[in-house]
Amino acid sequence: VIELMQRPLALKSMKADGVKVIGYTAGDYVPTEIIYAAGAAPICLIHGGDRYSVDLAHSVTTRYLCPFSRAQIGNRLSKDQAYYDMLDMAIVGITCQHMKKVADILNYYGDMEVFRLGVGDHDLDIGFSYYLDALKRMKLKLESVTGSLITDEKLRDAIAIYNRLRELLKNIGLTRKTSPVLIGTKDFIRLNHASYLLDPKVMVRELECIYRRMLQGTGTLPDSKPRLMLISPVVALGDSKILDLVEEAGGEIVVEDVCEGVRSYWQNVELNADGPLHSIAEKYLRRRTPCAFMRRGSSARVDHALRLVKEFKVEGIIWYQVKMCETYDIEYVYFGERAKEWKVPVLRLESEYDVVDRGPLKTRIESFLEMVQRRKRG
Amino acid sequence: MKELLEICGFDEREVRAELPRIERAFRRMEIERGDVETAKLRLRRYFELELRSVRMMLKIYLREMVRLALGREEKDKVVYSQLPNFAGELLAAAMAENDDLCAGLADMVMLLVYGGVFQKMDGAYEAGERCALAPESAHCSCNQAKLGLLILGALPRPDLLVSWGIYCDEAWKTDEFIESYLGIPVVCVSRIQDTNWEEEVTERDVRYYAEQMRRGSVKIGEVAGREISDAALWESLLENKEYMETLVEISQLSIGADPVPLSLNTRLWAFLLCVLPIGPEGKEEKLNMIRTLLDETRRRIDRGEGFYEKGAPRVALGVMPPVAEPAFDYLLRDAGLSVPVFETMWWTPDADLMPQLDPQEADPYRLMASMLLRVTIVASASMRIAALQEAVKRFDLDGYLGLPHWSCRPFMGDALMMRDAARKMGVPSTVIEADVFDYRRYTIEQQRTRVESFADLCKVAKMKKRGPQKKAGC
Repeated sequence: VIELMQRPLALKSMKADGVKVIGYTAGDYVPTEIIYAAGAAPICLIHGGDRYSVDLAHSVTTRYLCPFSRAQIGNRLSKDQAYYDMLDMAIVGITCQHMKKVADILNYYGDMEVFRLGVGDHDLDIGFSYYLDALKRMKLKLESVTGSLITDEKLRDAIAIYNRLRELLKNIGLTRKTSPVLIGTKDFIRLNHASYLLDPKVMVRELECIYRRMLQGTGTLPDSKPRLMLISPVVALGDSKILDLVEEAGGEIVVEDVCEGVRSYWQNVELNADGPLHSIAEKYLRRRTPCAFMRRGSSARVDHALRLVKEFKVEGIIWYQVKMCETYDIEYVYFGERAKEWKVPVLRLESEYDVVDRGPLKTRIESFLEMVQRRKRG
Repeated sequence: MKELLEICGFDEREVRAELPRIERAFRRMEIERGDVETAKLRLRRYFELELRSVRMMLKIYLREMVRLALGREEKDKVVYSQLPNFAGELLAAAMAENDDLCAGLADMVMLLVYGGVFQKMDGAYEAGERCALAPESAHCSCNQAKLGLLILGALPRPDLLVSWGIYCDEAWKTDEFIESYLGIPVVCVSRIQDTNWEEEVTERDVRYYAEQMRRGSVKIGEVAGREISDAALWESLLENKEYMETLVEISQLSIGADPVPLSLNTRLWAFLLCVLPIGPEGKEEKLNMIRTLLDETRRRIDRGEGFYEKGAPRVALGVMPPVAEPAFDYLLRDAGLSVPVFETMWWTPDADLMPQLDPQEADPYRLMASMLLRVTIVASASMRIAALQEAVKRFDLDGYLGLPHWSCRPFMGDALMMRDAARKMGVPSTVIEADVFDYRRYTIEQQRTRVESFADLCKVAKMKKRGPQKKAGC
């Protein structure tokens, strides 16, 4: 917490020393290793959940972008959000249409350079080549912005740090396979959010410390709570409404499948003979579970979810989507059908980052958890 | 029924020969006597039936709907493609290579004819909504219609859906849903929309898109039984070239004339025929139609006749007029506006009416990719904006009316930037949310006040542009 509080000030002083602050969009398609290897500070555009930034975006766009995308635009326009205000450049992963429009609107109304990182089809060779080329262009762009050459050695160092970071997050997450869980979902997601903002070396140090202490502990959360899984396109930093309500209602989210907001930590970059950039492309495009925007990615996503359901002994699924997210909305239909086959109840929730929906959401979550509890008791 | 066919330009011999087949198709689509009356009424009200070319065009579209409805009965294999596809040449070439293949842009034909003329799409929209694309989640009605039509069986289920992930996420995601829900195989043609703000059409984009189209083409060939050769594709492209050149001539005449000679509906339907792969038997008719339309446009201009009022403010419509609601055109005219051009008619980044392409290009897929990447709605936002600003100057526009499809994320994402870009050029601009594919939403009367207010702004702007007028007798 202290590190996070001090981070904006630290970044300001780094900027004064010539370090570039590079913003990048969430979803783990923009490899931070490359930004870090350029000597820049990677900052994920992960804030959201508040109505103010969403409303602010309505001066430049319409309500048909998802609230998370609108929040990214509003945060940059507002000049109130320290991280967004100090960016030298933004790298936008071209994932869904909403993120593409964030890039366009930041370009048109903004005062900052925006680099679009094309994400090719994950299951086609031409898709992989395209992504690899895009990473090469991103590397060149970063070199020109920072004035620093990104050598293979620097990339390998950055890969080692981020691999350790992912490994620690994974280890911490895996402790929740058994009850009582040692860390609640809110704290786990907070760690993920922090990892998107802090210097990775600092984050690794903190995570090492947390993990050590967790292993020594005995668990603080009772094991009678229903074990839940959270599936969502995005859980923004500041969007804790659903997590709060689940906690208040007595549920325990033990595993998350979240595209934007929780790191894709299941796989690490494995260095291969084709060089570090190629290895990075492998991990970020091929060796991962694709998000819902990816063509022909649904079955891999459903299989991944099923694996987690089994491994984490999940008793109920919270499907939390943001309004206007068409890909998750369509995907829910067949996901819901598959979940019925697994005999796991699913609760679909939706948010527009509005305070007024708290009451209805509370009722629905409470009813759902009551039903899961009853099933648990047999 | 006979009267309907006559309105649509069928002569007596054609009526006799084709009526049984048309009736069979209508039975399949549950088009009844009342629906035929509706169609006659709407055709008389919203189409320029006094033009022979318009009746010829209606005949082509009606035949196309019938051909698709009976595709399974008459042919061995059925392949559909759909919006936002603009590469009709690919399917036309596939049909040229495979006699026993019925291929077409099913959703577009159905939206125009089954929806726009017969107003029979309600059931399809509702079926799509009920199944997966709930209305409160702002799903695209074009996709609701596509899904609903297949569920209801108004169209036969195809052997392959060629999906286009080149512009939005909704279309291909719906198609993947259709694949899992209805078991219809899908091949998705994708592209990566990573053109940076200062870039124009990039080589990487052309290469990727062309490769993806080639992949789609191979899949179509596998399903149809015979691959699509480059020669067949070239032939198909060249055939369409003549149509396209004549259409551009008509557009140029329309833009240069006061009053604007043709209605938006006429020009939209003619424009969409350019991208529709119609059956091989309709090719010559299509060319005859466009040549006739050119003659009739010239005649109207010579006589000083037009669809819109002479001297009315000249407004461009973005992106295109409602596909399933021809009445919108009449609302614009009643409000005192004239529409010499709509956005999809011009190409990026210079608002040319023909795309600027490399004449030396030897690969038909690369040529198609280069061309399609210059379509305003497919191009990057910066190219789209540049083209709009150029269009305001080039076509001497008095306003820009953004009519974005409300549930389309790319359209709606660009809408306020486009409005702002037009205003920067000194012309009034506004955004009116519309549903381009669903006539149930945003009815004409809902739009009337908004259009009339915008028309007033344009009239004032036009008067200001003309400068102070001397009063008679002073």
